[in-house]
Amino acid sequence: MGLDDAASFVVDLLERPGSDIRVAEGQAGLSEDLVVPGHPDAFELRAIEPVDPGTVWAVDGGSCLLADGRSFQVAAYRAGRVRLRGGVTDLVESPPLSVRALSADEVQSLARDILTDLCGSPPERLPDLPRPVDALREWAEWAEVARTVREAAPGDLVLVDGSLHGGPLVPSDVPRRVHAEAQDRDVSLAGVVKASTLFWGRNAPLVTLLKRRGDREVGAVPWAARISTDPTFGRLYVGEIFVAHLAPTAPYAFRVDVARGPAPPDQVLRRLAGASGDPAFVGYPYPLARAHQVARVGGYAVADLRRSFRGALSRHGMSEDDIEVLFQDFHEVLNRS
Amino acid sequence: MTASDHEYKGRIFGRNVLEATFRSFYGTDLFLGELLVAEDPERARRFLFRVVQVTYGSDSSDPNWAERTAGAYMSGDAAGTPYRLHDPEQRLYKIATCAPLGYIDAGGEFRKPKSLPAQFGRVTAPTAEDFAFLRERMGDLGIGLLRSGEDTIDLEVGIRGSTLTSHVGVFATTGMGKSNLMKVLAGQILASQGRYAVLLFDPHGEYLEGGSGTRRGLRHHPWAADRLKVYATRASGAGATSLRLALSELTVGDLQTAYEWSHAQEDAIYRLVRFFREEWITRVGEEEDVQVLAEQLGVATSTLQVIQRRAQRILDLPCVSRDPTQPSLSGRIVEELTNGYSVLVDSSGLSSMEEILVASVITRRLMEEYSTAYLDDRERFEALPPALVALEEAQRVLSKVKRSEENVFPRVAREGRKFRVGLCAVSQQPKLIDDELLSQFNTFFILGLADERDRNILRGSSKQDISDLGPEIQTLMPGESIITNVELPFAVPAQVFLYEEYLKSVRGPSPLPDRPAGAARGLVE
Repeated sequence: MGLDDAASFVVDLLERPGSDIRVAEGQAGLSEDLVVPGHPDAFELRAIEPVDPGTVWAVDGGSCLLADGRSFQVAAYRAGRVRLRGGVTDLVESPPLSVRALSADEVQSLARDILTDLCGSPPERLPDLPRPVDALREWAEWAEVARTVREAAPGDLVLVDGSLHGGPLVPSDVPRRVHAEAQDRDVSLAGVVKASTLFWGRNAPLVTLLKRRGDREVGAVPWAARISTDPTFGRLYVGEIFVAHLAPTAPYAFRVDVARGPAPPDQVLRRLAGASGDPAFVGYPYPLARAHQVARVGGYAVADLRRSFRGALSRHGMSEDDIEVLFQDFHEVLNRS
Repeated sequence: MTASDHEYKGRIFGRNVLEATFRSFYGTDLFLGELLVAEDPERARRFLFRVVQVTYGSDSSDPNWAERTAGAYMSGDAAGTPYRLHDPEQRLYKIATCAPLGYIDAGGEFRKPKSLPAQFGRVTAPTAEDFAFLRERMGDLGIGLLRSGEDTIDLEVGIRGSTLTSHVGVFATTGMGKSNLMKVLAGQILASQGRYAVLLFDPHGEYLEGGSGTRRGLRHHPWAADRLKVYATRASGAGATSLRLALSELTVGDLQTAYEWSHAQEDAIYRLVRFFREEWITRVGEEEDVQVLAEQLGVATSTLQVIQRRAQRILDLPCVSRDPTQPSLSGRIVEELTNGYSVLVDSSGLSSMEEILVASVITRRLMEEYSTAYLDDRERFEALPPALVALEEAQRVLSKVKRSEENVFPRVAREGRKFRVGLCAVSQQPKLIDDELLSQFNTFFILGLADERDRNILRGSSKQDISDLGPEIQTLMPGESIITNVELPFAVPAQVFLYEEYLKSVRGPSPLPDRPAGAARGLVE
C-alpha cells in the first residue's frame, strides 16, 4: 500500500466509518470487544461551564527498561502524584524508581503477589504480560490511586491517567475495589485517556470524530458528549464514558471516564474544565500534566540509572566484557550504521 | 525560604571566570546593575557580581515551550476565556547573567575575579559589610550611595578630591540628573573649605539658584557665604559681582575657541592683528568703511564683514570693557581660586559662543597662574588647591574640529593634571568629544544615555571595563549613575544624592559660641 492508498483509507474511514461503537478488547472485564449501536452524530454535545476545581489529586506512572537480557529484564518504575488545592499544587510526590529484575517465572510470582494485594484476594487468572515493565507501572499506579482515595477528603476529586476499566493488564476487580472505597469516602473518581481505544464502525477513532464535529457545530467552547448511553455500559462499567473538550481553544478532546460517586458527572466535568485552563496544557487537566511530569523517567534519568546499574553489576563481580554483552543491542549497531 | 533568607536569590550554575550565571526564583525581582554575592564557604571567599542580563527559563525540555504557551494564552484571550498558568513559581525561573567584580578573600582583601565561585554556590543580596573595602577607595567627595539595581546599600560613594585634576566627565541625556550631580559635586568642593576649588560656568543660572520650584542651588549651600564667589555677565543683583574682562586680554586663541572661523576669516584676523595689534577688535568693530579696510588688508569684504559683526557683538558685551582704567576681574577670580574659593560665573544671557569666550579667557588665566607657579615657585605651587573647571556642553570646545594649539580646553585636558587644574566636561553627547581627549579623563560619571554611539565612545575611554553595562546605562533612571575612576576596583553604581536632601546633611561653619553668662559684667565693673 502506498502513501496515497493509506491516505485514501484514512479519509474514507473518517467520512463513512460505520454504524456502531466498539470498546476494545480487555476493557470492562471483557474477553472480546464490546460493540454497541450508536452514531457519532447522535451524541449530544453539551456545553460545560468551568468551575473552581477544588481539591484535585492526580496519579500517573513512569517506567523504563534498564537491561533486556531477552530471557530476563531489569525494569525501573514508579507512580507519582500531585495535589492541586486552592489553585496551587501544594503536594508533589515523585518517589525514587523501584528496580526489579524479572524472568518469566519471576513475573508470574510477582504478578500474583501484587494483584492479590490490589484485588484483596488472589486473582482468578493472571493477565498476559508481554511487557512486564508496563504491568509493574500500571499496578503501581493503581496502588497509588487506592492510597490516594484513602487519604483524600470527602469532596476531593482523584484523577487517574487512563480509563477506569484498568486495561488488559489490570483485572477489573482493581478499579472496582478502588471505586467502592471512593464511594464510601465521598470521593469523586475520574480517568482521562490520552490515547483512546474507543472505536466507531470500521475502527474509526471516535474521539477524533467527535472533536471534528464539535469544532464544526459548537466552536470554541468546552463541551462533553456522553458515550455510555447504551444500558450495556451501566451494567458493566463503574461509571459513565464521555468525550470531552475541556477548554475553548483546546486542540484535543479526550475520553473522560467519570465514576459513579458523590457528585453527578456533569459536576465532575465542570471541575475538570476548571482545571484545564493552563496555557501550557490547554484542554488537559493540569494536575494530570503535573503528575505525568513528576512520574516520567526522562532520558538523563535512564542514562544515570543504567550507569548506576552497571556499577552495581561490577561490584557484584561481573566483568566489564560481560556487562557490555548484557547491555548491547544490535538494533543500535544497525541504527548507527 | 525562611524569613531570615529573604535576601536569598538563587544558586550559581555557570559559566566561566568572566561571566557567571545563576538560577533564581520566578518571583525574585532582579534588576540590571544589581550587586550580588555568591558564597564560597569551602574557600572562605565571597564573590561579588553585577547583574548584566536577566532572562526566563523553564524546566520544559521543549525549546519552543514558552513560545507555544504564549500562543495558547493568546488563543484564550481571543476566545474570551483567559487561561491561567498554574504554579508559575514551580515551573518557571529566572536566569541572571552576571559580570564578576572580584572576590573578598579569607583575609577580607578584595581581589580581581581570576577564579570561579563554587558551583551551585548560594547567591544573596550583599550587605554593606561586603563592600566595606570600597570605603577607603571612595575618597572625600561623596556624591551618593552605592546602588544595587534599584536599591541602595548604606555605603557612601564618590571620588578622591585629588583625582579632580585628572579630569571628570559627566555624561547624560537631558533630565537624567546632570545638574543635580554637578551641584552635589560643587557642594562637596565648597564643603571641603578650600581644600579644592571649582570654577563653574552656569549658563542657565540653575547651579546658583537651583532652577525652578523648590529646587535649591549653590547659593543655599551652608558654606556658600564663606567659600563661594559669584560673578554675573549681566547686570546682577545682590550677591553677585558683575563680571568684567578687559578687551585687551582676549586672544586670537579665545576667539578661535569660541567661534567657527573659515580659513579666509582666520587669515583676515591675522592681518588685522598685524595691522592694529591689540586694538584690532576695536578697530574692525568700529570701522565705518569695511570695503576700504578690506582692500587695505587684501581680504574679501564679505570675510571682513563677518569678523566685524562678531567684533561688534564682543564690544557690546557688558562684561567686556574697553576702558584700560577698568581692571579685568579675571585676575581676581584666579586669585580667589588659588585661595581655595569656588567661583561661579553666571553666564546666562550670553550666547553659547560668548559664554565660551568668557570661559576661555578665565580658564587660560587660571592655567597660566598654575603653570607659572609650577615652573617658577614650587613651594607656592604645592600650596595651591587642586582646581576644577566645569563647563556645560563641553563638546563645544573638546570636539575634533576644535582641536587647536590655541584652544585652552584641550590643553587643560592634556596638561592640566601636571599643573593641578582639572577639567569637568559636562555633556549630553560624549560622542562629539575628541576620543583622544576623552581618554585623558580619569573619572566618568555616567548617567542615563540613550544613544548607543555615546555609550560606545565612553566604553572605549573608561578606566574600567564597562562593555557589559550597555543595557544598564540605557536603563538608568534619573539620579542613577555609574562611576568609573582609576582608583576604583570596578565601575561603581551610585544613586546620586538629591541636592536638596544632601544640603540637609551638610554641616556649615560653626557659629560663634554663646557668650558665657555674666561675661559682660566683669567688663562693666
